[in-house]
Amino acid sequence: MAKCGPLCEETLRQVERLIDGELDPAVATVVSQHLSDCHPCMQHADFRRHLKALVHDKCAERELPAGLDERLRTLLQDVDEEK
Amino acid sequence: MTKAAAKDDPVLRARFERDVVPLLPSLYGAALRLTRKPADAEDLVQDTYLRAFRGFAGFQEGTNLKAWLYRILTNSYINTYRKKQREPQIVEGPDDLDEWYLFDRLGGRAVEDSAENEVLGKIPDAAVKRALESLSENFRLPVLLADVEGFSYREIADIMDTPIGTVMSRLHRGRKALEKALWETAKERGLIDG
Repeated sequence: MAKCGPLCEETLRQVERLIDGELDPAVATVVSQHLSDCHPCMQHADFRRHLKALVHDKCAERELPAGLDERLRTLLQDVDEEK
Repeated sequence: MTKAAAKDDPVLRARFERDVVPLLPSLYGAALRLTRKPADAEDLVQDTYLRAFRGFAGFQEGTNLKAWLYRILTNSYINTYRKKQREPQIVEGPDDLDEWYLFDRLGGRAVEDSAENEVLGKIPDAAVKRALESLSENFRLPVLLADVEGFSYREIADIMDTPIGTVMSRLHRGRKALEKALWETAKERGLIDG
């Protein structure tokens, strides 16, 4: 944790929500301003941003297994036959 | 007036296939991270797909289809697969971990600014997936929904049927647990010096 001052502590507490896009716009502006003024805080924020992107990129599946794709296609036909 | 089910309404059915099918790979990914077994994940997606098809007349067009589908998936998982797996439900989380657990550890060894990011980038995809899957379900689900699927806190609260404050605290603790798991993984793989 960067130990420069109360503003840093408050900023680092808000970073998670800033990166999630969940901060109130007015608060987000203040937090972003501090980040651009404070290199250690910016490094922390960049790290969290990078980590979030990494989890997104590395944990996503982009294709259905071929067998499942086929199963789902025929599934709706089976539903049609239910009377 | 009752709307016809998707199976009896060609327009509704076409819309279902057009809108739902493109979301299936991401649903499968979530199913895999939740069940941790490809065969169970396939069954869960199939179950979700069928439930969604049967309930599609009740889905309001123009509202959040992806969140609607994830809610079905999550409920289906909780009602069926979790019982099957008999996983002990651990509610306790890593409250005692440092706020910047991974940054402090990687940063302490970093020579350049981006060294910590480089270490993380070297962890193979499969190992990051295992790290996420190692979290107890209460923490895995919000992290999965927020970071892999990009849902907002509000959407996650709706999907999990949980108050938004609970989502935020589980997400926070889940991310800390994930940082710890990634740190262990990086160490095991010799990506950390000393």
